[in-house]
Order: sequence, then C-alpha cells, then structure tokens
Amino acid sequence: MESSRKQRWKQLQSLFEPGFRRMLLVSFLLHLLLPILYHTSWFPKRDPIKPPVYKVNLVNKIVKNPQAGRPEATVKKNKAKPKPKPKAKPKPIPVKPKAKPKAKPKPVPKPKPKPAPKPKPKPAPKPKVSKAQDNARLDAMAALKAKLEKQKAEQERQKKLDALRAAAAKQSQQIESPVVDAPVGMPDGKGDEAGISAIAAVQEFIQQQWSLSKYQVAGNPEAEALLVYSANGTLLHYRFIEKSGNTIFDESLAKAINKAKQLPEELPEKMEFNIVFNLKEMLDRQ
Amino acid sequence: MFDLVLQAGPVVKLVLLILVYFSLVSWAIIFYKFTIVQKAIKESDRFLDFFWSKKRFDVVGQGIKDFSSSPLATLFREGYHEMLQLKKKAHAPEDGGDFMTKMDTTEIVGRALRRATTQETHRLEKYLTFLATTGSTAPFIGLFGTVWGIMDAFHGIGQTGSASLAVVAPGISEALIATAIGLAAAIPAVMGYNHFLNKVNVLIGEMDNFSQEFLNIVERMERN
Repeated sequence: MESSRKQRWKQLQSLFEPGFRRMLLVSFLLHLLLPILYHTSWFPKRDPIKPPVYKVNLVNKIVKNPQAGRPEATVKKNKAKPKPKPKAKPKPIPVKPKAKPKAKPKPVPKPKPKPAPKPKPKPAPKPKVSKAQDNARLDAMAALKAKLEKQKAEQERQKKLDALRAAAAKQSQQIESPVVDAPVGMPDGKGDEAGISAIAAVQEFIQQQWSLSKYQVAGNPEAEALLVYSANGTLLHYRFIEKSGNTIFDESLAKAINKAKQLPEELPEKMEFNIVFNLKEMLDRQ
Repeated sequence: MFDLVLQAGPVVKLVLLILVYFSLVSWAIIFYKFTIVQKAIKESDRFLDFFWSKKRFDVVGQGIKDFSSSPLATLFREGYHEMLQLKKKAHAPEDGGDFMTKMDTTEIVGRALRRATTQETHRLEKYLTFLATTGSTAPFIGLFGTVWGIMDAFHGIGQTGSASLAVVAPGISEALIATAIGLAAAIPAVMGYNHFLNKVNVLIGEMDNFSQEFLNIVERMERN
C-alpha cells in the first residue's frame, strides 16, 4: 500500500509519465505528416503553375521564332513611326523613337522667338517721316505686329503642346516598358527574329474579344482549345480539346473565338494553336 | 506555403519554431489525456458497478487490482487501508490503543479519502496547464512574429522605394503565416483544455460522491 502510494507520488512529480513519451512521438510523427500530406493531392494547390501572362502589342510583327525581349517594348514608338520596324531587327527600334520626342520640341521654339523681339525696336526710333509714308508705315507695322502676335501665340501654344506631348510620352514609356532599351520579343523567346510569338498574339486577340462578368461564373474553370489559322490570319476551324464543364464560360470562349475569326495581322504560315483559357487569368487581363 | 516559412526572417523563424514546439507538446498532451481520462471514466463506471454488486469491503479490496486507472478505486484503496489500520490498532491496545479509540474512525477515513481525492485530482489535471498556456499565449506569439515580419517587409519596401502589390504582398504573407500557425496551435489546445477540464470536473464530482458514500458505509458499520 505504502509503495503504491509512493509510486503515484513519483509519477505526479515526474515530467514525463510513462505513456506521455509515446504520445510525444505520435504527435511528432503527425506534425511531420502534415508537410508530406501538403504535397499530395489532398491539398490541391490553388494556383497551378501558370504560363507567363503576356501583354502583346498586336501592331508588332508576328514571327515564328521570336527573340528574347519584351512584347510591349515598343508600344508607343510604333504609333510614332511604323516604318523602321521591319528594317530594324535587333535593338534599333527602341533607341530611335526615344530620341524623337526630345528632338521635336527643340527646333520649333528656338529659331522663332528671335525674330519676334527684333521688329519691335526697329519701328520705334524712326518717327520723322512724311505723314502719308508714316501712315502707310504705321498700317504695315500694325499688320506686322498683329501677325507677329498671332505667330507668337501660335508658338507658345505649340511649345506647351510639345512639352505636354514629351511628358506624356515619357510617362507612357515608363509605364509600358520599365526596361527602356528592351528589344521586341518574348520573355521566353529563343529565336532570332524581332517580333512577337504567334500564339501569344492570338491568345491576346481572343482575350480582347472576350467579355464575361466575374459574377457569372464561380470557381476557376479552365478550357483548352485547338485553333487552326491560315497564313493570312483567318480562322479555318477550331475545337475544344477539353471543355471547362461550365457552360457559361465555354460559350463565352466560343463567342470570343468566333469574333477573332480574322486576325489583324498575317501569320508567317498556316498555324495550329493549342491554347489554355483560364478564367482567373483572363479576368486579371481584362 | 512551406517556401514562405523558409523565406521568412530569423525572428519569424524563431517564433515559428516556438509555435511548432507548443503545438507538438499540446497534441501529445491531448492524445495522452484522452487515453487517461477515457480509461479513468470507463474503469470508474465499471468499478462502481463492481462496488455496489459486492456487499463486503474485503471482497471489493481483493478485486481492486483490475481497476488500476480508476480514481474511485484509488479512493477505495486508501480508505479501506486506513480502516484496516485502525482496526489493527483497536485490537492491539498495548500500541496506544486508548488514544486510537478516542478518535473518530469516520474522520480519519474521511481525511485519507480527501488526501487521495486531492492526489487523484492533481494526477488528472497534470499537463492541462500547458494546454491553457498554449491556448492563451500562442496567438500572441504568432502575432508578435507577424508584426515583426511586417515591420521587416515595410523596411524593405522603404529601401527599394517601390510599393507595388508584387513587392508588398510576399513580405506580408510571410509574416502572416506566424499568426496562422499560432492560431493552429492555440485552437486545439483551448478545445482540448475545455474538454478535459470538463471531464476532470465530472470525475472530481464522482470522487466526492464516492467519498460521501464510503464514509456513510463506514459510519453505519461503526454504529452496528
């Protein structure tokens, strides 16, 4: 009796009771099991590895083997001067238009302000002439003055406009392409042609035709479609390799593909595209 | 998610380690207490049936070895042992029997039962304080890790000078994982603590009732 009482007292005093060690081990194993379970299909990953999202400038030439670079590297520059594009294969495209906005405003304001102040002082020192001549001269001067003033106002307006344009160009350059001298291409480009990949351009074009409210579809449906385009950018036929299972989403995709029957640019050749449409990704790009 | 843990700063990692330790020990206690308390409840029920089915203390005393996990069986053993000792002293007056007879047997047995009840309560409640500590401190420890992580993230943002979502979000999500793990450690601990405290209270009530019954029987025997 005494011994059992002592044993109980000892148990109470000890940090680890006999069964407790075993439970610690069980708990440890369970905690180890968590990270292992996390990597199984029991814990589906919310964001599967997505292909990179490209914002493709459709004005850029579509090529077969795009070089490494940024698809939107020359968005603003293309509008300014579309001609040099085919000529300049590697880097000259981003460099040339950069110089443009700077060059334009400078020549306009500099030469013209000079003649403006000169005619003013000239008429002033010559008052001693005949009246008729004087009147004629005064009229001419008034006309000249009005003309000059008009010119001056025009110049001022032009100057302000140029400054605004330059600022806007600078700002848009910063937004569109943080890497100013990035060549035209694709981030994963491995080829040697200055241009954008056809699949990215087609996907972007279809994306532009697509519209759906995020409140219409729940979850994150994903559909895969095979599209065949002819060399002149006409959709020959298409079919869904895998439908998303969500009729609204699938219908919206079919509608967008039908709208994208004619690409704005020609393709290098007849091409087949296997495109995965992911709702969340498309909503992000909308 | 595990990449987030690996990318976290040293303070956040230390906080996470502490929280994992809390969680590990808490779960071990939950499992251990679950087996102990379940066994105690089951064996106590069985012991009560056994106790009331037998009319004699000595018969119950012989069969008590089958109920080693029941706190009621321990109470009976302590009380019965005290009774036997008192009887022995009463039959041997040369060992100070006069003094023994003057004392109330019920009171002595009652004291033995009270002591046994306290000891059993301690045994049943052992480790529960750790669950209570985990439940109340783990969220705060996690919060500390989060605050520290966010401080770090904002410092980094200040240095890079960029505040886009792509720059801000990873730091904050790294920091928030500390709070998440703190809560993950605290929630089962609090639930376990409340559950076991309730069960232990039920057992304490049963022990009190049994003590009263036992004392009644002893007193009746005394009067007869």
